[in-house]
Amino acid sequence: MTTLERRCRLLLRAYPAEYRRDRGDEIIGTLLESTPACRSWPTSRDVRGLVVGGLRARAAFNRRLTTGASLRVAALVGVSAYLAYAAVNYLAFAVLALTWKGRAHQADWSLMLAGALILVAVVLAWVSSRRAVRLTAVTAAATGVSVAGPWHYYGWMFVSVGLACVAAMALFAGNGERPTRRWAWLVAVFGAAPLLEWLLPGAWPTAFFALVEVMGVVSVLWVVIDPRPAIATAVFLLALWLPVGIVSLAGRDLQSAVPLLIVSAVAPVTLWRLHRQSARASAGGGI
Amino acid sequence: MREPTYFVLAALLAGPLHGYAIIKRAEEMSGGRVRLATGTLYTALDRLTAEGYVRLVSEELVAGRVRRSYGLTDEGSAALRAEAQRMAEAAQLVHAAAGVVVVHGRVRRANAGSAGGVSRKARTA
Repeated sequence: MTTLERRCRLLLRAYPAEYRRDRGDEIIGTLLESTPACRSWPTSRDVRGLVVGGLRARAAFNRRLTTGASLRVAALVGVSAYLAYAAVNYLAFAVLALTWKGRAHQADWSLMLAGALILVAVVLAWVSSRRAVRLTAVTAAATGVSVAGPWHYYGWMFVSVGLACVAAMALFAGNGERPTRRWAWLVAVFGAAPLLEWLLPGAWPTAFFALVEVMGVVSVLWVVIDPRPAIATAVFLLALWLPVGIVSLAGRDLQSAVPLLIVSAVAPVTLWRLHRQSARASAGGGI
Repeated sequence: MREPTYFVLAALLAGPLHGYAIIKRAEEMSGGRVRLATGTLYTALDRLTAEGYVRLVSEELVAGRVRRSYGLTDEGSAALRAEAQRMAEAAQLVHAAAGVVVVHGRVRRANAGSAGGVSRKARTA
């Protein structure tokens, strides 16, 4: 493979994987024919054409679903991200408790089991049947409730949000369209976020807020191509900040409720964009 | 219909072509004005295929890669002719307002005699 072809294939990654499988070789062939042999990069016009064409193909690919189906997928990704975040938190707390005390207590093992079960339920929601997800989710929820309430600062509100997310996951998983593997990075990033506290203890919680801000900006910019990551991020933030936001608003601390206010402002625009894209697709505006 | 789309369809008038041949043909037909980027061409082909104006005619393996040829459908051909007609009528309006007429592809001033008329090659779309 020549340097030019390798670079052309790199640019081709702007297209969705399904499109690349079908048309990738054909586009590469045309690109190689239209680029002078002496060049190691395609022309700037071709680079621009590939990137814009790839993003358009992604946008068109995302318009296949109805508004309802897109919302279900986005909500599933959002609650999966939150539950992965909560599960990693559970596991990290349990490991920390075991390390500190050096001796396992019943609650520590329950915490670890709840975290592991939630992670299994999240994975099953993407790959398995609804029945398997529901069974694991109910077990995870029961284990989680038995240990989560007493030690968490936000008590019942935190548990309620967790249970609502488990219920939403059990409801949306295996219901028609599944999220594809390319969404997994969003769940992985938010799921790994609690580890920042242990990896970068000096930068906590600044590093976490920075991560959330970066993810928020990226997903909002991506709305032009696909509004669903922004909706998933909004669901994650809503689940994460709802207990904090309610407590903050009750105490008239508006600063801590800012993430909730941002989500409330961005959500209508994102939903409108999703609805508009779906409407355009049903009118025959897609690829 | 945008100009690149028009020339993609026009390039296929003479028969099915593969991607690179469409790019070259569109450039020749437009006098170098329409130089399609590869990504733009395939976006246009996807859209035109979905609209039923273009269809996949054949597939062959060249240097280990699939090369597909595309052809005009009846709908595509009709849409292209309708667009050409629309542009010709639109051009006629401008010519009439400017006091010129198009005779056998040449532009003549309507108020000039046949001996003193200024003519030049018409630029038709």
